[in-house]
Amino acid sequence: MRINEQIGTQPFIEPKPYAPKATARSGDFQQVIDSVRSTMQAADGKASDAMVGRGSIHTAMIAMTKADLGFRFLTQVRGKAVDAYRQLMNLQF
Amino acid sequence: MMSVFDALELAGRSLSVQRTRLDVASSNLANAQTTRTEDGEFFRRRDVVLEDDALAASFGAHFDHALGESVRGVKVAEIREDEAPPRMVHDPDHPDAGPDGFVAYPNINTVEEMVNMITTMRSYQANLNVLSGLREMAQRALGIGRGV
Amino acid sequence: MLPLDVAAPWIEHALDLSSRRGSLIRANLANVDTPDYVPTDLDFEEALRAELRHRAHFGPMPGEPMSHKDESVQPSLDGNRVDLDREMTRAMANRMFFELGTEVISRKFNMMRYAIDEGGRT
Repeated sequence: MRINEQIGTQPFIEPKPYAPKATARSGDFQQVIDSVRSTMQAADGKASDAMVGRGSIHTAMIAMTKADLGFRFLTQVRGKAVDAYRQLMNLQF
Repeated sequence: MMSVFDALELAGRSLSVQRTRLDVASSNLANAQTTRTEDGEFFRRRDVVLEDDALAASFGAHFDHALGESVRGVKVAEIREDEAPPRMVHDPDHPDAGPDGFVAYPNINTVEEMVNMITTMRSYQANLNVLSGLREMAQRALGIGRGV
Repeated sequence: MLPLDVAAPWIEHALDLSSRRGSLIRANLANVDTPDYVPTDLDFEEALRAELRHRAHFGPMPGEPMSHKDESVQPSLDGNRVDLDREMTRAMANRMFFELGTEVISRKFNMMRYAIDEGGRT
């Protein structure tokens, strides 16, 4: 009962319409690349740490998994971008 | 935080220490009736004295120890002979009897030594469990993100 | 697109070290009853760190890895100094190190393989 009362007093919030950026700029892509590169370097560091006994195995494996996923994501994004470019180039005017 | 390799080393040293304790306890038991050893005396019971490994190590290790970091583990400090007097038994016909007809027997309590042995074996087993636990944890950790 | 990993060779050298250490440990274990035998071990941690420091160069560290005779154990009656528990534990630790090294290398190679496969698409 009390919960319903509280819900009743909340104003209904109009959801904002989804408005993606009209153009992706080259800087955005570079950021993703840099982020992935640093993830991969961190993974190398953690792996070395684990091997010389400075860090734990699970930390190293988690770091390597993050790098792997980040890299795959980047590859997919690149693929999509190239596809989009191709489609654009194929448009006849 | 200790790496898994440090933890293994620690468990290994514990195992070694337990084995020494077992050896000494079984030697005490085996010689509970030994009235004459090589040096002519009755067999003296022995004890294993343990100490923290870090105390005997370098300055660097002292520092780590003071900061509360990294446990170094246990080691045998010495194997000490018990100073307790022998158990005198009146037996004039015994070859090792003294002029007063008393024979000096080791002051070894068989039950106590057996309890020591059992406790030691339990500790040994516990350390073996630590080792397999460490191995299993490492295996699981290695599997993180595999096949994702 | 992304540079090939330079760090992988040092891991291979580390696995070589681990392999050699395994042989030494097995020899120690085989000699658990040999009179006056003193166990040998590699200065593994140091050799490993040396390989890591020189990972920019592709070859392994020149020369033999430092090894030492382990005099720390009290000799038994026949002079043998092999501590069975410590050798077995070292053997286990060495195996686990090897597994870690191979896992790391495998994952790196898998990433490269993915890059090659995906790069070939489009």
